[in-house]
Amino acid sequence: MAKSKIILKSDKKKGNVSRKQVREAVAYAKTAPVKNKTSALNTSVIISPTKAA
Amino acid sequence: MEAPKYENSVFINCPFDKKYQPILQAIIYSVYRCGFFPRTALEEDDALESRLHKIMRLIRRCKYGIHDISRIQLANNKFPRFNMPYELGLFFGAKYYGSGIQKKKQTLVFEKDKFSYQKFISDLNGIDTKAHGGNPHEIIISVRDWLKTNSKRAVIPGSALISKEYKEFLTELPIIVKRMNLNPKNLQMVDYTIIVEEFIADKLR
Repeated sequence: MAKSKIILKSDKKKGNVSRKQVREAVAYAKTAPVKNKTSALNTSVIISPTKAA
Repeated sequence: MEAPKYENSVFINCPFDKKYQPILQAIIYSVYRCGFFPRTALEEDDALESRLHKIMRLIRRCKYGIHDISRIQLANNKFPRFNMPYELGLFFGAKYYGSGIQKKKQTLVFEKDKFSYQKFISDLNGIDTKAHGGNPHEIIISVRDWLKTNSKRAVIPGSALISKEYKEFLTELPIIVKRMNLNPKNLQMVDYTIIVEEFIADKLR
């Protein structure tokens, strides 16, 4: 199936992190060793309300 | 950047407790991956606006609403939480009493077990709810199929692909969070959504 090319993005000015930082971290995680990914599954991520900077 | 358009916006009315995080996160990922924009009361912090006004503003700006009314257990204080059914009522009210584009609102109602809502909110009789059983995979299928059916968009990927990518996302998210020196136990919604956006953007490159 053809991939959807649509991805909506939120306001670039929002957030505590820069898009560049996030892109770098995404690229890093993609190439992380399998054992790191396996152990990462034991870490639960909890979303909390956004706080004003 | 402009605010997300009405026809692309999905109001997420879901418990935010730790136990329900897998459900919340699967909904947000699915909505993004289908090309829509999730809106939640967690996304911004404005001390000058009451929570109720924020919710009503978000509902007004969203054509679609995903409501999870599965949290029916008593809280630690022995009282039930009524926020989700209340916000579902606000969404229905906006569609019923509103005019113009408000009339085009579409709703997906989740519960854990099919027809359990009849025991605690029988006014919903006749509404075709979806049971997710607490399973994120079921959520992805339901959200994807519902958005596909109601939006009639051709570009929405299949649920098998979304599920496969979401499993990868779950394994890489803690690594991404750690790499960015963020706290995985307290990841702010605004940061989470940017991570999801960039993860999906990377998948589509």
